[in-house]
Amino acid sequence: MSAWLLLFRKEMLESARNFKWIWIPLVFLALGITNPITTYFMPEILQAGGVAAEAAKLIPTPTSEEIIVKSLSQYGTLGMLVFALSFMGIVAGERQSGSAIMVLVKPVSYGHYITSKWAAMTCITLAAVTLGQLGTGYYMNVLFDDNVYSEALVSGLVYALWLILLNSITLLLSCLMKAPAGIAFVSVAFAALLSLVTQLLGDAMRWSPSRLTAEAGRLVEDSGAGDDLWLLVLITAALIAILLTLATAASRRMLR
Amino acid sequence: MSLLEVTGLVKKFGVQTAVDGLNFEITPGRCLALLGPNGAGKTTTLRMLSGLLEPTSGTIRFTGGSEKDIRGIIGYLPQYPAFFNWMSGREFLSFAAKLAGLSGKEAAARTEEVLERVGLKESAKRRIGGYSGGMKQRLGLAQAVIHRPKLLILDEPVSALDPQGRREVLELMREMKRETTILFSTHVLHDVEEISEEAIIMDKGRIIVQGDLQKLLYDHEQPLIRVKARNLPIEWVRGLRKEPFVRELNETSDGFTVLVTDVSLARSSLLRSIADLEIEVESFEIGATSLEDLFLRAVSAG
Amino acid sequence: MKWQDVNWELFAPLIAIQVVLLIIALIDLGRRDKDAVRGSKLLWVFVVVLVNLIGPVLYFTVGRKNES
Repeated sequence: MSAWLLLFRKEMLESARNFKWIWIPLVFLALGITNPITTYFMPEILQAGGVAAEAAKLIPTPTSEEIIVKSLSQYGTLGMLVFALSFMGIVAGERQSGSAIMVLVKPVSYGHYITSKWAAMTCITLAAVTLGQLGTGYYMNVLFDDNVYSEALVSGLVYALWLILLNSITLLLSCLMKAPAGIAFVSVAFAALLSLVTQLLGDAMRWSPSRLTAEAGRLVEDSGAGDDLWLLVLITAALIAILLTLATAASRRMLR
Repeated sequence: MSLLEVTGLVKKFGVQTAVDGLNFEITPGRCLALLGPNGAGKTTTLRMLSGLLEPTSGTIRFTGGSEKDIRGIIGYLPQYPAFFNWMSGREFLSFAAKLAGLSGKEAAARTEEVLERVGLKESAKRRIGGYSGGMKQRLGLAQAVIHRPKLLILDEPVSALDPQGRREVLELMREMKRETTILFSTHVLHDVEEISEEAIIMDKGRIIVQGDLQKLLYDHEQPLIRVKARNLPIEWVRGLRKEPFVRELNETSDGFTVLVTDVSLARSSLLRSIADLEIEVESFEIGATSLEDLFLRAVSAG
Repeated sequence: MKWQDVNWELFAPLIAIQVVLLIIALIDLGRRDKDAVRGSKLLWVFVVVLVNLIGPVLYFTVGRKNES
């Protein structure tokens, strides 16, 4: 068996044993199905809250597209936090405990060490987003008789790319920094800052990967890809490659 | 023919020099001890040899093979071995074996063999998180030898263990000596005398003495006379320094110790003076310096 | 549509997710050494059981010390 596959299997097994493989997808599933349900019952919820029936009727029911986009934006805030917090120690923890030495003293490539971790993170991310979007799709079908599975999945995939980029930043920071809380904080702060700057500067930041979130939404609403989608996908993929290269270089230096 | 040659090895961390120009060789089949106080640079040296740290300058040359990656022919046990606590002992060893390049079949067979060897067969299924310190140390040894390395590097393998664990690990090392070359570090001289054939004493990143242990012991074995007495005339004791047979004189709280060149001359001369001066001697002992004295003197002088 | 007509089956999956999260959080908590948990174990039992969804998530993200 190749060394990379061995390391990858170790990561997957670890995530299974500490329940990451169960709880992270379940949280996304919960996020994914909450939106259609609350939307469906919104008139009742409003009435129960004392809003008159006539007034409640005036509030427009959101479209299916809007519901999917709302799910996505929740992955963006809560989901991002969940990933940053659960992956912050992925290298730092092993370095702190000393178990990284036990792996790296064997004839293992540092690149394999980093990319196997990245691949495992990516698998969990994709599984979680896909499950969440399937949940949304299912409830849209049951509650609104609307078949939006493919839109939900495709937009989820684009959104997942943004999350994977953020995970790659967490991975790099995990090679550079020691305090796990600091790692999570810097990751989240970076994502927030990039999104903010992108919104403020508009056209100058057309290339910003944080626009993937908006593009994912557009995929649903206009049922067509925006002009910049492929550019953004390409830029994000390149950034991920750069981050992984940096993380590999950092991991070579992390053992004093 | 040496297994490994180290020339001009230096490691700096910022402005601090941890290892300052080491030159030594490791002879295949022999057990070499790296002895020194804490902070001498032993761990840094071992980490460079095992390929975990890049030297600032100097070379480490394996003459044994033309391996691209020296980590493949080295087994390394860190001072504080840490494992994946969620794995069982067997899972970890099999993982380590495969990482070292053994095929699935070989890895499985070798895992059982090594488990048996270090006495962890019964606990092989348990989570490593529940292992005791001694068990972890034995598991650490097991992962270090799993791929039959040409050189086994052990960082303070017995320091953190209780007497029982120490015995067990030393015994295992003695067995492993038959199959591979061992380089280990320690700050306890007794460990060195017990198991190694060669020794390097280092302090503050430099080598103080090195060589064959028997020869070191012999070279540094100097006759000495230890006198304990009550009413020692200070002038007489200090005056001894001028005697031709005295090499070195150390005053202690209850007497003095002299390193001498000629024991019989020193003995008769000292005894005569003691009788003449009517000194109330409590003990008069003739002995020799040990490697420990050498170690302590070398370290305090360096 | 009235509240009585609400199809509670719709909510069953959400409830199931919460129960599963709660159970695996408690299993993990039970297996873990005191030293591998941040804060007191008892406190986490309360958080996990009493705070819907967020309780177990908090436990999984910040309650466990990274054990390798």
